[in-house]
This record gives sequence, C-alpha cells and structure tokens, in this order.
Amino acid sequence: MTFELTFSEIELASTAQKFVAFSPDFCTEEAKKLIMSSQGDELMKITKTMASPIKITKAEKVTDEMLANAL
Amino acid sequence: MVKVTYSHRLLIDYDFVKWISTCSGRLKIDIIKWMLRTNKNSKDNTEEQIVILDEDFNKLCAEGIIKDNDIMRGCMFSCDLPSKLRKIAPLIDLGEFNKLPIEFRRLILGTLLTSKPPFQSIFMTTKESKLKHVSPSAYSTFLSRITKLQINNEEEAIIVLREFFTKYSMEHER
Repeated sequence: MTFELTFSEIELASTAQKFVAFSPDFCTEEAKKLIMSSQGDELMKITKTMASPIKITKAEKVTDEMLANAL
Repeated sequence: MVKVTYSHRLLIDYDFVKWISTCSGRLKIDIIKWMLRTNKNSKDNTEEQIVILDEDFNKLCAEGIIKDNDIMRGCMFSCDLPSKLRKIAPLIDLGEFNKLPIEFRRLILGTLLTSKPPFQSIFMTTKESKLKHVSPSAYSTFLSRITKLQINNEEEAIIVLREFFTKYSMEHER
C-alpha cells in the first residue's frame, strides 16, 4: 500500500533549517541552498512530499506579491 | 529565532477576513504580514495565536475569498470547535451545540481561548458583525460575565495587529 501527498506550509527559515540539519538527504539541493542561506526569521513557503519519508521538494521566500494575491 | 509573548489571543471571523480582502494593496499586504508574524513568532501559542472557526475558514475557501490557502493557514489556526469541546467535555451534546447560532459559537471559542496563556482574547470582526455579536440580549448577558474577551471592529483590530508587529520588530532588532 502506498500513500503520497504534496503540501505546502509557511514556516520560519529556522524551522526548515532544523529539518534540513536533521535530515539533509530529505531535501532537494536547490531548496537546501535557499533554506540554509536564509536568515532564521525569514518567512518561507516550503513544499513537502509525504511519502516515506517526508521530503522538502521546493522552497520559496514569502514575497509581498504572494501576500497581495492571498485574498 | 524571535519568540514574542503577546498580550492577547486573537479570534477572527469570516467577515473580518472578507474585509481584509477588500482593503487597498499596501494595507492588505501589511495586515496579512502582521498576522503571519504574530502567528509564527508567538512564544506561547506558535501557529495558534490567531484562531478562526473551521466553519468560517472553509466558507472563505469555498467562496474563493481565500486564494492562497498556504499563506492564510499560516496567518490563522482553523479550529474545529466541536472536537475541541469533545476533548474537554466528553459528554457534551454536540448535536445541540451545533444548532447554536454561529455568532454564539464564536463567542464560546473566544471565551475558551481565555483559559490558556495569555488568558485574554480579542475577537476581531467588522463593525456590522460586531453588532450581531453584542446586540442580542442573550449574548450581552454572556459577554458581561466574560471580562477577558473583548470585541474589536476593523479599525481597532488594525491597531492591535500593528502593535503586535511592532513588538515583534523590536524583539527582532535586539
């Protein structure tokens, strides 16, 4: 039996950095680069795939444009 | 990572979020940013400093008012009130509870929020919606006993959110 789900969450960069530090193999290189180079308090949109295990597949910084288009 | 202790939990409703969606560009961006920071950098209630009823959140999504679910879920915690009540009061008749007007269920949630730190909450809504929550005499009697829950309209809410963001900014600068 398999289960796969892709979802995104807004997180502080420091939270994503902890995830990457704990499980460096469970993050794409591109996402890892952006996450690890960000200031801890920066807001980021982190996309994860939940299969086995959970993996970060994409990271973006939250921009004013994202906020303007949220509602 | 900056962690901030805020003076109040914040409860918002459908009308408040809908009002934000009608705000002009810069104000809308600022309000959403203030809410994101308040929710994400809260010391006592990380991710849950700002709360909304599940029902209100789902209605905002269904009507397309919420366009970016990820951003807005970052701004607020969507609370399944019946499940929350079932945990603290297993014998509660949820059938009867769910028949209560949504305005009263919001006030109950606002009151529940005062049971945990910081023990005070503000229900942020619109001027029009505020009347629906304070005018019926049954609600005003209920509210008169709940001194730690206040109800703010849009203009008062902006002041609170700006103050909370300023507090975060000052902690961040240290």
